[in-house]
Amino acid sequence: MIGVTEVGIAVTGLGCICAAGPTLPRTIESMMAGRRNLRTGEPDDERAPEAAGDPGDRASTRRLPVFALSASWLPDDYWTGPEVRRSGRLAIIACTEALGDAGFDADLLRERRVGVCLGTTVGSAMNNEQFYRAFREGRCPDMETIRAYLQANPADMVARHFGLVGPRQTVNNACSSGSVAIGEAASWIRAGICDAVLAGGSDFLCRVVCNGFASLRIADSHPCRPFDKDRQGLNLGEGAGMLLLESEASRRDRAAGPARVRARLCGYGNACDAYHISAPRPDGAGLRSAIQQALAQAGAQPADVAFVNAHGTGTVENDKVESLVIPEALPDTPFLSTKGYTGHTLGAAGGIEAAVSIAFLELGSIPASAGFVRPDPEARGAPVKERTEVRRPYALSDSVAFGGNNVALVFRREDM
Amino acid sequence: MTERLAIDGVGIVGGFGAGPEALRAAMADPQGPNASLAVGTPKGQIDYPVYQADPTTLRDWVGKGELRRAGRLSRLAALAACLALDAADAPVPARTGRYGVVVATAYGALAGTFRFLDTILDGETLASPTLFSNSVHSAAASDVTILLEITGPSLTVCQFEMSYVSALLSAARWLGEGRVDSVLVCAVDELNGLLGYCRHCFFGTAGMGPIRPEALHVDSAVAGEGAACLLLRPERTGQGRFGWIDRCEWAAGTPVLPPAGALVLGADGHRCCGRWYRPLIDQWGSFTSFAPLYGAVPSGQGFDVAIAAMAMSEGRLSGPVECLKAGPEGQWGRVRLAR
Repeated sequence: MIGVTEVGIAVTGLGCICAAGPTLPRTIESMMAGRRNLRTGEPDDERAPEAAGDPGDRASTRRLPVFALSASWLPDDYWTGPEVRRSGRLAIIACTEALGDAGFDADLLRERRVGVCLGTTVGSAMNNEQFYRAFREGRCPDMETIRAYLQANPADMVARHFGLVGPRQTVNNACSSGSVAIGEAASWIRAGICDAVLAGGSDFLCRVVCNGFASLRIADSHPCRPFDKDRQGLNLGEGAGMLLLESEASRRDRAAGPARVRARLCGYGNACDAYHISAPRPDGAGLRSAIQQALAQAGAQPADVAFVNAHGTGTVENDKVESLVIPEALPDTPFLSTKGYTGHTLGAAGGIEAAVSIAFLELGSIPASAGFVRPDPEARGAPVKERTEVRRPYALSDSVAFGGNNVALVFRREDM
Repeated sequence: MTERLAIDGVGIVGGFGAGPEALRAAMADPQGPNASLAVGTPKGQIDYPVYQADPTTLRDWVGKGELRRAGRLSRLAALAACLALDAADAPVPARTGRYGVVVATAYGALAGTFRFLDTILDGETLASPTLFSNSVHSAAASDVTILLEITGPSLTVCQFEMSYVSALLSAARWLGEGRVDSVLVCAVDELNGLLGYCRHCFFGTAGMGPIRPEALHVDSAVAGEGAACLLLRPERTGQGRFGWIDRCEWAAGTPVLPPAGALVLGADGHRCCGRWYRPLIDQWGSFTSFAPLYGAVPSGQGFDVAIAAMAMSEGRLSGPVECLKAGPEGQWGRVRLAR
């Protein structure tokens, strides 16, 4: 079995952009205030057709609400450039914040072995509708779209932008991608492969994926209600959440003194359901295993965990499994879903939720689980309905993905 | 890497067929491309030669009903995984968390993605949920875990040409940290019509082949598809019946290699990557390329490692073997095999 991580990997920088805010501090402020920046995709919203499906294009397409980024947070060329590059660009925004937060400057980026481990779903997909439509109709489209795709691998984009020479890995584990990327990055540091790794997840809103979730009939036409008795499904979102993980040697070797540790990544669990390509295993065995692995590696007891940031998408089946497993595995630990503030950001979710979990751990407080009103009588537990003080050393963030991949990350406060 | 990895099983499916006998036959008498792909161009249809893989023998291991929802990419990966387990005399794992699955793919489930797009563009009442599921990049890894009942960790890496070395680094860490006892590491990519069209636009009739690995300055790549899987175990428990991986690294500059028995380069007829191989060839004088056996596959380093491991175990290649793949930006994936 994997051994207990004695110290944990230092997280020295955090960055986040999502519908709740363009930076991590503003995201936390917005969540703590209970704001839900859901966009309903009104007809005069120029982003609505792309984000939510164009009702004029297919009679069956429903206009679904999404947690889209505010255009004012992004440079103009974000919207005019190739869409496929957006995952990488969002990751760069979050990485820039994380590096600034860590005081990791350009000189250090050049001097040290810095890797990139980045989760995404849409960011690796060759699914440009216009290009494919032209191809199907025999109009022989030019290769501009494909050239853009070949330059759009998110980990490559981040590495090129910052001039990094360490290993790169774009993780495509569907909705657990961001969490997996963080867990894998930590092992690179432990193995001495890198001095530091930019790790997390990034994804943008994509019409094709909106259609996919509509086809599965798991998208809510109202603001999502994770863990609520009347939940109807998810709302998609977009953004990026990135962590800078550093070895102890790298963290301590700074001109201005050792870098601050915002938290330590102590545990990572990864387990599969081996059950169904698009439905979670009803008994939650895979999720339970991932949580147990992460707690064991961290050397943490359930009673040490301040809170669980659940995957909590708002779909009937996902929330059923999590509200069975989490209260059983961590009986006295409050839990919440932040997707009522961010939407389901797919490959970015694990990165965003890791970043906000660390910020909650520092604050000693978690916000209300947005959208939750009425307890589900079939659930063993319910998320927090209001802002809640949490004063234990560990936080656990879990992800439950399409295809049955379950992941848990355990972070520890440095001062407890 | 802190400890060697035992290669206990090798499974491979490509244009030459599926399994060790087909591969041995291809190595003894290379046949080249085995199919053609019709590509619509402004000047009319062109039939390009391709190396096309056939996953139908997967039914020897997995029931037809269980395969009903699995896409083609998943079937290729699952077949290679079953062949690797078979080569290791390992039973198909049932509900074990001590196996992990790592999939390296450059483009993911291309065919599934475009079939899903077809349902959207055709204006069907509701796009197909099964096709959407099969379009997700991790579908192959998920299906391998479902079909083989593996409840350990899974990981899908998409890093174009560098997918395999990046994936192998993670597999090595899982074994090194004791996260699992065995890992199935699978490289898989598939062909489809749109990819053929793109290749036509980029390379024109150079894609007619034959692949000329030694002609680094010209495009001669012929597209291929398939899957190559290793069953890896840690040094302390593995048998190494197909040899050992004693080095795996992502390098930013041209590696300086110690003496070895053979140099296997991922030179597959792509000029953009071929130029990076020149300094190594100058250093070594000669090299081997297996691309003419299986075609140009972006995750091809996985095929090279699998073929080299098998050839080395049968005495047809002297060890140690350095397998190198260059990315278009000059990064290197290096895997060294030892007997």
